[in-house]
Amino acid sequence: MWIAATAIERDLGPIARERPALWRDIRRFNAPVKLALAAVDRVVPAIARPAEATLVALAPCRPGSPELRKISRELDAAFMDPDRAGPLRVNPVYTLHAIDNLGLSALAIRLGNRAPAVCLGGAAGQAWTALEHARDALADGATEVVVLGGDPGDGASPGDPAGSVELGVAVVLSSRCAATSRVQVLAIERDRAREPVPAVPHAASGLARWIDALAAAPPGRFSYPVPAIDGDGLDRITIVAELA
Amino acid sequence: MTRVVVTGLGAVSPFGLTAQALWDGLVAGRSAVRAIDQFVAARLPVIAGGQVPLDVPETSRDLAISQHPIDAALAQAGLAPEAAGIIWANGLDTFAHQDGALVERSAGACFAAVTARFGRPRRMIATACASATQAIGEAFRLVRRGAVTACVAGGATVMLTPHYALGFAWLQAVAVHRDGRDPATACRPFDRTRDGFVLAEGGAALVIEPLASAIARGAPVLAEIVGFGASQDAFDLNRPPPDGAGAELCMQRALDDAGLAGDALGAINAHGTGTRAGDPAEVAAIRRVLGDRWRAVPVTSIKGAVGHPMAAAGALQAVAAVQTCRTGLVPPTCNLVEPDVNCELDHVIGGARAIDALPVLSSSFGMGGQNATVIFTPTRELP
Repeated sequence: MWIAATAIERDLGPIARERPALWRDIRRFNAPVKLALAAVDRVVPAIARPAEATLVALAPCRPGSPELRKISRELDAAFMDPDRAGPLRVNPVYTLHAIDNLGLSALAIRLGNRAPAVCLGGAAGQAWTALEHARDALADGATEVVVLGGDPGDGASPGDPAGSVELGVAVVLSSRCAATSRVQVLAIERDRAREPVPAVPHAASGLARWIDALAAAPPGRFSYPVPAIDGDGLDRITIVAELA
Repeated sequence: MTRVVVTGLGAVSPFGLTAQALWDGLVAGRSAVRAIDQFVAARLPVIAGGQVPLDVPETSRDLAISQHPIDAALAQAGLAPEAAGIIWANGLDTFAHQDGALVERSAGACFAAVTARFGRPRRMIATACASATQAIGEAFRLVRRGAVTACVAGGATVMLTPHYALGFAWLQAVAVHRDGRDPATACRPFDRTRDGFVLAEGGAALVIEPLASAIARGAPVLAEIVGFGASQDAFDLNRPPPDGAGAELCMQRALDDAGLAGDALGAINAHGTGTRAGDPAEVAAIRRVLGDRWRAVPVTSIKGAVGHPMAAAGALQAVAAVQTCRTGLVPPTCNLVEPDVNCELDHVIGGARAIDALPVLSSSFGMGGQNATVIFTPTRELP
């Protein structure tokens, strides 16, 4: 499979000003979903048939939002004091933030896409599973796959993993080599590590590091050993690509 | 093409801790839905729920409700986890109390803990209420194309918390409590008086492998999987299109994958959650898929009996569909008394119905618009 386009979105700040139509669609969502959809927005021109592409979304590994977590704590206190539980009301916008397939659903609506799709859950290392799912979908007859995911930022709420960076990623994979294609993914290799290794769950950061490494690599065969922190804690994963 | 079969089943449900307990309850037409003490104490507008009778600490409930059916399915299949991949759904993050404080329970962390002993792949599916059906379908596809020699598939959820009960009440999706109404009758799929689903917890697992390997291992062949379809509504974040177009597309793709026409089906295990909008959309889709035979194919929903275990729903349905293939019985839709004029189909009402040995279609439709359908069939002649 060939990479047709990639995008990494690191800053929500300029979107409202520079891409108002996109912002209108995504402003209700939590940060990881906003960033993932903003990244996809940059690669849409590279998708030949957006309504028919296979969509592979990565659920935020820490779904929700600071607002929703605050509401959850308030609700929990209210459950202990039932006189308060009944009247509690919440802006329904925030309930959307709990939904792990929100990015996929929103993108399908934006693209008018009814093709088979999948959203992979928030366990560590599912980003590489997304590439494997894309490979399988292309082998089964799909011609284009869009992988998307987003991460919350470090400190966005208590318990965020240290080093977590707010960003969104989109990758368009194709069964065909277009004139602009520079990267062919040849293999996603796995073998079991002797001992479990610490991994940090995230949807987008690992893919972003791989995309950056691809951009910096010279032409020829390029094997990318996925850093243990970006893996699933069990396998050693290597992505083998041919770069033009 | 590789024939793919189910060789192990496991389930925990409000009926009990085995697949057989689930099946016995469904066939008897009983409801396992009850008033949930925590909801009543908090004076929530919702009091009904489907609770698994499993006595474990709140902080390990997510792990236990995944682990239990997986272990049972592997034991029936006679398979070690290292010899299988796993495609599994754990639903949304949830909450538990530890030392008086509210702690988040990460669905991703639960998945990682439960699947660490498995071979590859280890895929976590998160397509809302379609998750487990999609997990089973993806496993079927990987086994059929020879990419995996055996795979556990299904899902588990523990979303029966006041937070989610209230959240879904705000979305007007769950059946709110009314004075004088027995909580056991709160969810009434396809009924004229339905007013929402009932939140439930539960989990179920299937072991899926090639027929040839099942025979070689001497594993029990419980049913065959012959088709999988998936689609998206691309319509709205909270509700399905009224015409059920996405659901129809999904069911049709599964039939095409199986090489079957709609009129070849023996029964349908419907998503049937009991919501005002969802049920008629699904019925519209089923009618178009079945064509002229829409009055002649028995349709059932398990959700009146066990509630809606969200990401795990499709796995419990799959267990019921496999049991229908094995026994020739379609369980009744519990609490369905008078079908809504917009929900007319050949519903199974009152008691289980015997059918011929024909394929059974099982569908799940996720909030946000992801849809999945799997088709099971009684095992045909063995080689």
